[in-house]
Amino acid sequence: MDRFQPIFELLSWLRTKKHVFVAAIAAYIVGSVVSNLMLAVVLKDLLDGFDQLSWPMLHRGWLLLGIMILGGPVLMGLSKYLFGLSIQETLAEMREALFTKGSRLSSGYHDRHGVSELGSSLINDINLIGQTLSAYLPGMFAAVVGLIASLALLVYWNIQTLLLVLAFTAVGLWANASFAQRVQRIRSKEQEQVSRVMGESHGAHEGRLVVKSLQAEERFLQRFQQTLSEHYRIVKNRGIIQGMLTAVRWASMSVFASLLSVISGALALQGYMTVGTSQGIAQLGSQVSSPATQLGSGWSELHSSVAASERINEILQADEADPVQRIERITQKAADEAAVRCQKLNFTYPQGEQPVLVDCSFEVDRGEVVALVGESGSGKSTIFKLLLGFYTDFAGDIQLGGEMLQAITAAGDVGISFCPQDLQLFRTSVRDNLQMVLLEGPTACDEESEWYQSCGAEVKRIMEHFHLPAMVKELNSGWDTSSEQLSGGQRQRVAVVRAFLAGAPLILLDEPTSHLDVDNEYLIYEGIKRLAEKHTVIMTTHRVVNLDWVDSIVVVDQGKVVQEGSFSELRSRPGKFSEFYESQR
Amino acid sequence: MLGREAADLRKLLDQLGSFYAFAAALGVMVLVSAATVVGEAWLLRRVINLLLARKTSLFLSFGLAYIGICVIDTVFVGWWRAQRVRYSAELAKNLRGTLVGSLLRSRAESRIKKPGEMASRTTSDIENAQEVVTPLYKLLKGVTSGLAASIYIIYLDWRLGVLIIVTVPLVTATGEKLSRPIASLAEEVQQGYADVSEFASDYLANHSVVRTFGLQKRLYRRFNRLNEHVLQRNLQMKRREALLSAGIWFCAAAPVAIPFVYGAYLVMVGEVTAGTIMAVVYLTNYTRAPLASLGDHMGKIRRCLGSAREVMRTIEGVRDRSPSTTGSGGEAFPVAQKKGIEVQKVSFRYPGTQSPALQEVSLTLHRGTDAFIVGPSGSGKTTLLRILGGIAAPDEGAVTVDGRDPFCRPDQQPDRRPLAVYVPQQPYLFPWTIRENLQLAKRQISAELMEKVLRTARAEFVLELSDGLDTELSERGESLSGGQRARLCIARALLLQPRLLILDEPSASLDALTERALWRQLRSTELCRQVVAVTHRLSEIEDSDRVIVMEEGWIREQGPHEQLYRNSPLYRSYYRKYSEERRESR
Repeated sequence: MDRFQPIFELLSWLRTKKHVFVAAIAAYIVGSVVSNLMLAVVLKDLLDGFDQLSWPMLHRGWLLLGIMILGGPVLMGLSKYLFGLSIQETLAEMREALFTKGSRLSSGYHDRHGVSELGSSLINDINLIGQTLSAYLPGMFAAVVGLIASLALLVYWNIQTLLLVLAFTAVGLWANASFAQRVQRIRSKEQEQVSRVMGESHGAHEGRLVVKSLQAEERFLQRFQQTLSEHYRIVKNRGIIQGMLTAVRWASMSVFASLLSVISGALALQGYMTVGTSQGIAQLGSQVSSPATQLGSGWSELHSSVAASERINEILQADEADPVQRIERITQKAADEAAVRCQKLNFTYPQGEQPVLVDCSFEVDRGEVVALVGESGSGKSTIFKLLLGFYTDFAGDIQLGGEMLQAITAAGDVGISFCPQDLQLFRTSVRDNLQMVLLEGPTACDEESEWYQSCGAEVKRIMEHFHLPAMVKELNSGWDTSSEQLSGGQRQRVAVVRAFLAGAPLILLDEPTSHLDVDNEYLIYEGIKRLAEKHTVIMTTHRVVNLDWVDSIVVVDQGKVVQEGSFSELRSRPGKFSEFYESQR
Repeated sequence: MLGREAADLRKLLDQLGSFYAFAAALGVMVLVSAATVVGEAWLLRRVINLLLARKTSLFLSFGLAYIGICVIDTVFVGWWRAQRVRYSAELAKNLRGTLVGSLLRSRAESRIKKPGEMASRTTSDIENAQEVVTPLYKLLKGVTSGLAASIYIIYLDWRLGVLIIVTVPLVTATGEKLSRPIASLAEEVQQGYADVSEFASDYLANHSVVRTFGLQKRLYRRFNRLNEHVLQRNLQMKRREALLSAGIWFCAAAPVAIPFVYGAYLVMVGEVTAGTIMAVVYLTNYTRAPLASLGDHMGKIRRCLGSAREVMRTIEGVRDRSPSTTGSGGEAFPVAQKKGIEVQKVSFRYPGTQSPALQEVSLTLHRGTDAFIVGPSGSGKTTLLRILGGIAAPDEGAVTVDGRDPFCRPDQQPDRRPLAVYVPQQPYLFPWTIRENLQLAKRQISAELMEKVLRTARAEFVLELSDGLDTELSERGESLSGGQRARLCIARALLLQPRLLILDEPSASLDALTERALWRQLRSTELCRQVVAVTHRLSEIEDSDRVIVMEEGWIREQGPHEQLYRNSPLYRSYYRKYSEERRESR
């Protein structure tokens, strides 16, 4: 029974639609058996009709022919309809389940697996399952039923020829399997050679200048030709085996049919059966061997879609993030309380071994602009991730507005806005990216110019501070320009503005000026300065030269806070900061 | 239209070793398959008639012949299958060879954008193009066998023949027509899948923002809209498909009714024999097949030819830009007597670009004077290095190294040492063993030379690998670190023992200590006499006798570091910038 486990596994996805699916399979099986087997019966009736000049026999044949020509297609069409009905909705449900799960996965999961894994499961794996359910699986069922029906008909017609059919089918299957195996073996050898050919041909493209500068063109080509010839030789050999395999397959249809036709014809002449039966058997015989091979190939398809189903299950069962992920909206509630206090933070990433933060403590007062300064890898961005509640298994305390972070996140609103280092703009329009975070405001506007006009005064003020409207005016499609078409600096400006638009009291900016030249850095800093009174801003940076305007600077090194103070204080004091400053001046 | 395709097809097939051998094999197979169709039908008719006439001995002998012709058919089918694989492989092999050949022989300055992408594109184009053999055969076979079968049916009984020849194509074409509208719907469904997948990956890639701004619900609604759209389109397609597939199955099954109903009637009234009916049933399949798949095969051939055209265009595109392999100005200027590098008023513009990469650049470097070039990206540093290295020829002006054109091949040199070897910025190694990579420069490497070269290039780490020189490298050599690759590339260049070694930003992949040591080695080695490099490493620049400052294709300043630092504000600004970079990278 274990062998059939995969089939049950796949069927379990159908849940509510099981009955429709069973009906579809039934229609498919009857339809394909009618279409394929009836011809042998028709043939028998007609030939016997001719032989005995019997009109009733002929009429019976015509009747069966009518059933075959009309009934088969109707049943096949019906089954297709029922499959669509039962499977497509299931697939849509699966996509939805995967997507919902994807939004709940923990940051740890995202660190371990790439985005593409889930994305490819979402379409490819699900479609593979759909295809197996609607085509391969019914095909296999129909092949089994067809095989049984053909054998039963043979038993009914003439038992001696049954043995002949079985013997011939067995030989055909054996030859088929052994040649197919050899082809498979050669193919795996071929694969090695193919990757060698590909490697060298990619090398010729990418390393062209190297070859030329070494003046080694001829040497390289000689070698490449050798690799090509070796590949060609293997493929040619595979071709020969494949030719034999094709011949075996062809023989199991045409040679086998002619053989059966003549042998059973001879038996008919001896009076063992009617003439019609003998030709019916010839027609039937070739129907036996092909479903047998079909079964084999169907089985391997089945296995690959079981693997797909396992991948999906694995994602569906992956650990979810902590409740903080269910924060729905940022509210103004914590506006008055946005002071941050971190005490003795210790943290190691779930995958990592080295601790990233070691006894890290600092405070930020309400309405301040604070710069976290440190080299890359010093732990600046990690502090942000903890503040945002992406990771909760840290040691130490984080207090926001006098409340413990854990308590706030459990209640469901943190009220922090964030501009990540990789910006994370959606691949939609600039307008959409900004619109998305607005609590209220203009919804769908047809005219993009109207969009800006219909924004609230506060929203407009924020955008003006960062000179965003002026930047957008330069773009080809204005506010409807896709974020993908923006330059690095433009993207960064949009992402910073987005962080301010959400109306959160505490704003975290991770390297907000890393993609910008000095002029644009100035522009962003000016914007932050002007908006600072309403917000508390923490930003990370490794460029310290232009930081004279911030309220205070926290220097982080190897997961620890090593210095704290104002720009002028730190610059005059010997230490990490003045080192940075000197090196960048 | 068809003429152009025929020309393209011929051009593609000319890539085969022998076009005529292929054409002959194809012709034989097409004729054999048409002949066996008619032969099998003829014998089948005989066999059935003899069976019904109860003529045992004649039945057996014709029966044997019938089996025999099926066997012959089978043998040919198998043989042709092997030929098909072989010719496809030959096509691919020759296309790949031609492509890579013309690529390597092209001029270095024909800049190839995104070579990796180009390689994958041509690879898949070649894979598509080689498939042309199969649809070509099926098309020819279908038409020939179909014609032969039709003629034979008419010969057997003209009434049945006319009926079949009129109705079968009609029914078949209807079936074909029915399956058309699905195609546009299927495209919509595919687009829907692409939208869903793109949306999901966008969402997942930006999960931090989704979470901080609490966008889950909003985006979930969007996803659901897309998902619902795909579902509805899918259901619509399946409904349509259900109806159509009934029609298609019917169209496939219906033609057999003609011989089985009208033909059977004719048999019963004694006008034709039962064998004729059986033969006609057999032949009807062949009259249908070519029509059903004619468009299909034509489409496939077109697609193959489309890919082939792409490959040919790439080959020719590369070839167009590969005129001479010798420098343009070599003869125009008298051979300089001085030893060292002499650049006289060299200008250069990349094909297809507006502004020149180099403008009237002149430079003299005596033998043994190492030089460093500094300047912003796009200032022409790399171009100048490539011209010195003899892999790009100047449009105007002349370059000599030790009095000779750097394009000179090493075998034209008295001491067989190449004049100059250029090491590009991206250290590139091939997916072979380290030894094979080094052998690209020089086939026979003495142990002594190998040892010296590895030491000079600071690449002794190779000997400490478990497989040593025989370590297999992964694609682009990425199993090694960037610094290791860079050192191996320098070692590879040193194997040629060039008079001039040209390094393009070795600092990009080497750390400061290694680079320091490398320069010390290069200054004292006899493997090369002179080094010209682009570098940002201040300690090297400070020690150098000659710094060249480039900007927008011009040489703005040159001279020893001390002098430039004192006199040139431009140079001072670069020096500051580099010193800032250095501190940051610490």
